[in-house]
Amino acid sequence: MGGRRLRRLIRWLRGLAIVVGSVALISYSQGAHIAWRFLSPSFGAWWNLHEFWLMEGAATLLGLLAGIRVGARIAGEEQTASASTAALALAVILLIPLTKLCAAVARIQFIGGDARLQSLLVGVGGYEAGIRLDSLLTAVLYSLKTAGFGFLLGLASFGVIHAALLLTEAEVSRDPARVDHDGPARRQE
Amino acid sequence: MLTWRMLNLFVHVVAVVVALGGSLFSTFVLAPVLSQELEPAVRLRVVRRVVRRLGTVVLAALAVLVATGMFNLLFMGSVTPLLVLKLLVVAIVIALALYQYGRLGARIWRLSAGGPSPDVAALQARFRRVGITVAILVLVVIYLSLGLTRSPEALTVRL
Repeated sequence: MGGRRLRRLIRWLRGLAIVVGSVALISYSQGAHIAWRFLSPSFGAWWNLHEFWLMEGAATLLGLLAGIRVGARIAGEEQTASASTAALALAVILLIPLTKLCAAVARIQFIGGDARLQSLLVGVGGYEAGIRLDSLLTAVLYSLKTAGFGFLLGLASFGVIHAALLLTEAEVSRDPARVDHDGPARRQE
Repeated sequence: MLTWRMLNLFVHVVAVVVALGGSLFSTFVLAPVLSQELEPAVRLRVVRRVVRRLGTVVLAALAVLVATGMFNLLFMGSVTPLLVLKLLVVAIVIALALYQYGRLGARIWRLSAGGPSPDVAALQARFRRVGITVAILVLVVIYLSLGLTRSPEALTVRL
């Protein structure tokens, strides 16, 4: 895939992840699936079942894309179109298991609502607003942690793919600096 | 003794050994010996191929480190300030290794196709400096890891 098409695809995926992730995050943290249930009970039930994983999937994808993009920038973009394409394909294919891994790791010591922060928010904005804000903040932090682990995975996977492609290219290409040291001896024989 | 946690930790430690050991061997053993034994043109031909292969090995080891590190986190079940610092340093190590082998190594490969030149020598010097920086940071990561196995539960920070 050419560099321009690849950048366009990455931008499109990033936009999709931001939109889906934002909607799912707000819905999950604020219980907005209720609204969907009023409008369409079956869709509302489906949304309620999947909004958490849509939020996490979007965060993981954002992290992976950022890692791949940063990796390509570090390695020099003119050389990395193949590696970026391969890393992107791998990220999309493995998105579901990677989402589960990143979400599980991000959940460690994750707090549904720290008492001090919640108390502060309730004190400032009142009980209802404070609780909702605390839920929103918690979901945002959780998504950021998930994206952070996705970033590490994206960067690492790009690195190994890029290095492997360089090695493959080196092995199969004709090396003009190669000198046949045994040539004269073989010719004499 | 034979648990998934131990197996994961074993692979994690082996990946560190491979990443660090390969770089240190290349910098402090292979490069000096090659410079003493081989003519510049032949030395360059060997070194550029070593760099390519070593880059794949080191970056693959770092990728394994990240994956097994995340599974280690699941087994540990807590995040400490030390661990956050370690993860930041690991991200910097991967970025620097990618710069070293992915950008500098690729430029050395291209420029050295025609034989030794001052540009290649300058790139090789920068390659060595980045490599030493990466090695030092990996040693820092190892030291922080030792701290992780020793830190009390009281240091746990809920994020």
